[in-house]
Amino acid sequence: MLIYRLGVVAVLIILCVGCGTGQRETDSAAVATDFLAAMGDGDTRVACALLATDTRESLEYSGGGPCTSSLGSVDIAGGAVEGVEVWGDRAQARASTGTLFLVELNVGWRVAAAGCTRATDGTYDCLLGA
Amino acid sequence: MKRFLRDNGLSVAFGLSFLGALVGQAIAGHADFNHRQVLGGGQPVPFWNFLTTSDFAVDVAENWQSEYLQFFLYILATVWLVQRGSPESKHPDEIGHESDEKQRVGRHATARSPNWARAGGWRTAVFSRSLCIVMGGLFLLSWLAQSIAGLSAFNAEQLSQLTDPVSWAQYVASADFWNRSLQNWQSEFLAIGSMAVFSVYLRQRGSPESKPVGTPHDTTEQSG
Repeated sequence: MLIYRLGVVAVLIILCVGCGTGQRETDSAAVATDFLAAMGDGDTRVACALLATDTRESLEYSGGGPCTSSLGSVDIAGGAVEGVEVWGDRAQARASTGTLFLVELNVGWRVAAAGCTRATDGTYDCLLGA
Repeated sequence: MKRFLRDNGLSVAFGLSFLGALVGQAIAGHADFNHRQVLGGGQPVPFWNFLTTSDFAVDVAENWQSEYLQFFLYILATVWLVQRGSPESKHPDEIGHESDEKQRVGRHATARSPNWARAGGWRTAVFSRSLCIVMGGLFLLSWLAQSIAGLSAFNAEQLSQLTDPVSWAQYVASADFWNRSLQNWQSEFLAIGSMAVFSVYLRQRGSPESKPVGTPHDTTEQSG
């Protein structure tokens, strides 16, 4: 009997691993879209609010000033999100102007890296959050 | 109740041990997971949320598959392979599936034999292999669960390192998948091989996994 119960648990593990990814894909894509729109409009206040804490702090440290001014010197163009992939608390959004990486925090999805282009070794070089 | 516990002591004791160890793994795994989350710029998760993560699922499944593989292979291997002097082995003269008479199937079944042992045809054929079928099936199911949960955990790690996620086919050919599988398999094979050899020369008085203490080292197929 124990064997059958263990089998049922294993099946549930298989079925549950992909639970609920649809809504999370939509939410992460929306944040990526909002971030790119803000960057396209030059609205760094909105764009900064959509950055992950570590990314914003790193930007402020390297830029030597508040996020809103430091982000203004980062050349990330606006653009449409063409596809998103969510795994765990991480997401990758592909846009016409580059790739974004997002992380899910208490406040929702936030941009961890942006303006990323794929290098020949398979890693990404990012203008923000590398 | 007392009689039930006495008659089912092994399954009850190991069932409770399993649950206790699983809870312990969940508590330690939760702390480790949150530590890594903070280091990677992620968000710590509550305990109950951790139980639904692919990180917890892959750690559970990779151990389950190796245990079921261990017993599946041992049950199957001991049909054809022997270890002279080991109570885990049968006598070298009995290598193979053995006669219907020895196995008490078909017309050799007794009044108390299971129905499918007496039925003949496909039912007896299936029942004659049912232990391996279930153990092998659970191994494959657990291994599949490991591959799916492992893919999710691996891809989350890939994305946190600003790298592309991979497909399931790429993952089952990856070093991560085979490292997780083989590090469990090698320990299972070591333990089971050690048991087969140690039980030739060493004894545990009263255990059916051991020969009786005074039995000669070269006596095979006898437990005490």
